[in-house]
Amino acid sequence: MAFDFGFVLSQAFSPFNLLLALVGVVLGTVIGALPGLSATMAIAVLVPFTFAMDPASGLIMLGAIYTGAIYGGAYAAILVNTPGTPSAIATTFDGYPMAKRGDGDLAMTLATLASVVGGVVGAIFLMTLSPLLANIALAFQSSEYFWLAILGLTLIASLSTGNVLKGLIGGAFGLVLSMIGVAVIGGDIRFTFGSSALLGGIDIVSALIGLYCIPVLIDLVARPDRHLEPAPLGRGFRLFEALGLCAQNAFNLLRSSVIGTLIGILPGAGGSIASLVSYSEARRSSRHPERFGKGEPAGIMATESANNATVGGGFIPTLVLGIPGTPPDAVILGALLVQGIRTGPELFTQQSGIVYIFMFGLLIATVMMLPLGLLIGRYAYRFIVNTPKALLVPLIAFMTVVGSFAIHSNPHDVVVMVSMGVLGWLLGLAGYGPSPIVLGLVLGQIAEQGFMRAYMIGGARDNFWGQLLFDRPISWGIVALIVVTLGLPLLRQFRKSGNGVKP
Amino acid sequence: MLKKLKLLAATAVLTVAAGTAMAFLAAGTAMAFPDKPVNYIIPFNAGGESDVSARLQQPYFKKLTGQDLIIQYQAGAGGAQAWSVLNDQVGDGYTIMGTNLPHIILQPLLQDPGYKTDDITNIYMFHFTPDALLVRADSKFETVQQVIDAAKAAPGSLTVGGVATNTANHIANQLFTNLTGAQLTYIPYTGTGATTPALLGGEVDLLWGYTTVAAGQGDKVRMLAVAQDERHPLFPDVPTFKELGIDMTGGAYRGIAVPSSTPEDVRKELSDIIGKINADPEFIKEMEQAGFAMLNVPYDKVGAFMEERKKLYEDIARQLGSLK
Amino acid sequence: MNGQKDIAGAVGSAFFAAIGAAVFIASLNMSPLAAMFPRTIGAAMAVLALLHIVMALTGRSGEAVEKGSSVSEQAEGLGRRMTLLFTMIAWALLFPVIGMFVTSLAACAILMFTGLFGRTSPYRLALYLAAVLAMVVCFYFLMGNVLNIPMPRGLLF
Repeated sequence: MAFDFGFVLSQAFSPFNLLLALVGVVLGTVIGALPGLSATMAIAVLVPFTFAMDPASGLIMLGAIYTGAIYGGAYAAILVNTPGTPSAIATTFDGYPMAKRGDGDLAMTLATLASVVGGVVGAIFLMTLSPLLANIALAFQSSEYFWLAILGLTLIASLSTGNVLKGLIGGAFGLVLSMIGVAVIGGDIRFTFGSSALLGGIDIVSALIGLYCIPVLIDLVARPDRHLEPAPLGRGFRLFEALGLCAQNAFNLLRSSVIGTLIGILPGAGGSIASLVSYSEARRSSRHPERFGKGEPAGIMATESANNATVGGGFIPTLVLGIPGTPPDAVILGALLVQGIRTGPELFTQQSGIVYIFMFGLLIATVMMLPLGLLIGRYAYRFIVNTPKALLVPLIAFMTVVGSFAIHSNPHDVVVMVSMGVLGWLLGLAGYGPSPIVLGLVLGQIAEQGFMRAYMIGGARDNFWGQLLFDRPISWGIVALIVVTLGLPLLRQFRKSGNGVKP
Repeated sequence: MLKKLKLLAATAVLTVAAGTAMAFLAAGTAMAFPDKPVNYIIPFNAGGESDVSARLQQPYFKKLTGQDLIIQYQAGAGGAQAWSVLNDQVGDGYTIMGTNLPHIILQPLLQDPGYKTDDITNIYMFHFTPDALLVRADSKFETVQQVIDAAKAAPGSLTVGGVATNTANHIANQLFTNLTGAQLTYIPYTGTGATTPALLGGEVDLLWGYTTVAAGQGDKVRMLAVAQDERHPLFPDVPTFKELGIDMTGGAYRGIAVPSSTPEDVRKELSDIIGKINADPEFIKEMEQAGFAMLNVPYDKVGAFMEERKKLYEDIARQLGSLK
Repeated sequence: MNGQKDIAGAVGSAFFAAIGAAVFIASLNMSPLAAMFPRTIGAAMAVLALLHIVMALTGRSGEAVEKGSSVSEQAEGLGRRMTLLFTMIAWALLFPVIGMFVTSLAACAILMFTGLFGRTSPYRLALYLAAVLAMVVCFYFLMGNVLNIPMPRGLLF
């Protein structure tokens, strides 16, 4: 490397920058933990403050907030079953059951460790292989996005073991919800019932808050018993237990982090798909797939390492190609532009150390998450466990209302949130879980647009199947994964019934 | 029990303290207007042209007024979600919103987006991005004529990317077909951010974009022509469509609007501030570097400007409508 | 396969079958490009839901891992559940009209009482109310002034 490495390190480790990273992580974690408040919002509000700072310091703070916010999403997911950000959806699957049975402390510690591992892996990829990996963003085309969305949807089958039919119907309903609003392809207005408020579609975050959190609230007020089982006193962080679990799951962590980095590179995919895919992979390759969804630590580790790895991954196309991977990346890219920094592969080979200072800052902020996260997580858990119900109920309810309002400063999102909550509760009575609906809603747009574009381009080139699958080696790989994910459980079931054991 | 409350109280105190500290930090030097931060709502996601130009304005606003310009994103329905609630905001000058042409004219013409063009009180139109036809640097197309010839030889076989349906890009494509007779297959994407990888990755053969795309991607793309009256200062070698005998000028115009309840004097004041930023040579340089073209339509002229644009787009809207 | 008839599940499926059919019919009036997805998904959903109704009524519907609590479980504390639901609905509908602060304070107070079990001393009640007030003030301030989110003021504030 051509530039002065010592200078970069001394800059990144300067006390002021360390302090900014610290403040950024704490602020980000809090923002991320509150459903509805997003990293984009926090970063956008703070950008003007960074003008007064040295460019590198400002960037470090913004990066720290971003990584903290992705991590903070795990808090609400584990403690109140509400993903604070879409990338924490899959964390609720096992995190909340663990917290409910009294293992909340362990779940929080695991989420922290996994987030740090994922964040570090992502940051290392960012620092070392960026120019090479950026090509992935270009190699993925509409057909690959379509298949990736289908791969995410296969999770429905594993989430609804026992009643796959209900899961599929719920998933289809989620897909229908994703169609509401102005169609990007075709331009039609679909299923808005004449309401201009629905033109923009159903906001994913407000639907998440409603579907997951309102049923929890409803159950919370019904019975006098505690919200979460408290952990026995004096158990601490359960750090060694968590480290042991991490050691057992080292391969899982590594795989999820790599998946997270790679999917993070794709503009338009992001943390939600990354964590869903790595959850699905962790479950598929686990020796105890039946434990997933009931409080399996490996599930939390997979999702949390994957979603924090997308932070580093997302910066790769942002810095190399000038194509932001996620909205927070776009805001940070804007801040770079204002500072007069041009993006491109040259950034990594010649320019002064500013980008490296930023990347080191990101790495430092990620590592800082470990002590800070353990500490904040422990207090957050104790707080939720010990707060009397009479205060917990209004607190959570207020969060849901204010949080869904904050997304667009639009009261309609609150109405959508409550409606989805009531619907989710009623459907719960009929045995339909929220997760298939959420998966359909999150992945629907990606699936539809990916397919329709491949269809239109294939039509123009008179080679539809080639465009969708046959001429696209990356698609072969994803389709193979889909087949394996769906096929393995079926195979297992056939073997079981072949032995004459009726489940 | 007491411990919990203490914790609660401690959190409360901390939050308030942190908040007050930030509020004080934000206060800075005081002036008549504005004397507190101004919220600047961008009706799109971060990273698009609206966002980038707002970011460039941000430091100059601070320099000029001593106040922060705080950018917020309210994306949805191609901007319609934010514009339909613009007039519900408090009209004290501290909430302003980015507006885009042709969006705010075309959307109400083609469907009911929850607002009418005249509901939006524009106070300044400050720049525009000319439509541009782009290819990858290694594309076989060197000139617009080659594209027209290829498209005529096999109608519909060339794909061209653009942002969504019934938008500036979609219109550019329709105009191009009308004027040249070249049939291209238009592929809609969700935003400018998604179109760039589609072009660079080879998913589409051509791209309807703006000069900003070429400015951002440098030598990875080649611009075949721009829909401007004169050549863009950043790209002196790229011809205009007019020079090529194709009567196409247009693009996306961007401005700033306020809620209709905003008093006249505040509108005027805001318009003056934006005008001053627009006149700053440093700002002009940065904007042109990023591929924007400057435009100066202050508050007292914006009405006439809108009328003229409305007539133009109504004709095009009729053509798009008859397409269905 | 528990052999039990899943009546609630059948009712739910009937709801989905109706939506699937409605989506399919609505897609007939859309432009071809926008119609393809709704048509496919609507049809698939209706068919799956009809299939599930048959399965549910013949007692061949299994238990999903992830599910809400059953109808009988929900009978417990139904009054409180309903209070919460209606408070939330009223909250969502009223806050743009009346104002975020006042609506939230009222709703939080109602929900606090909904979450109270057993006898509570007046002292503790006062403490709770104070805590609710502090919470609303804090978050209102955080949203409105720190994050610069314009809070609806409405008639009161």
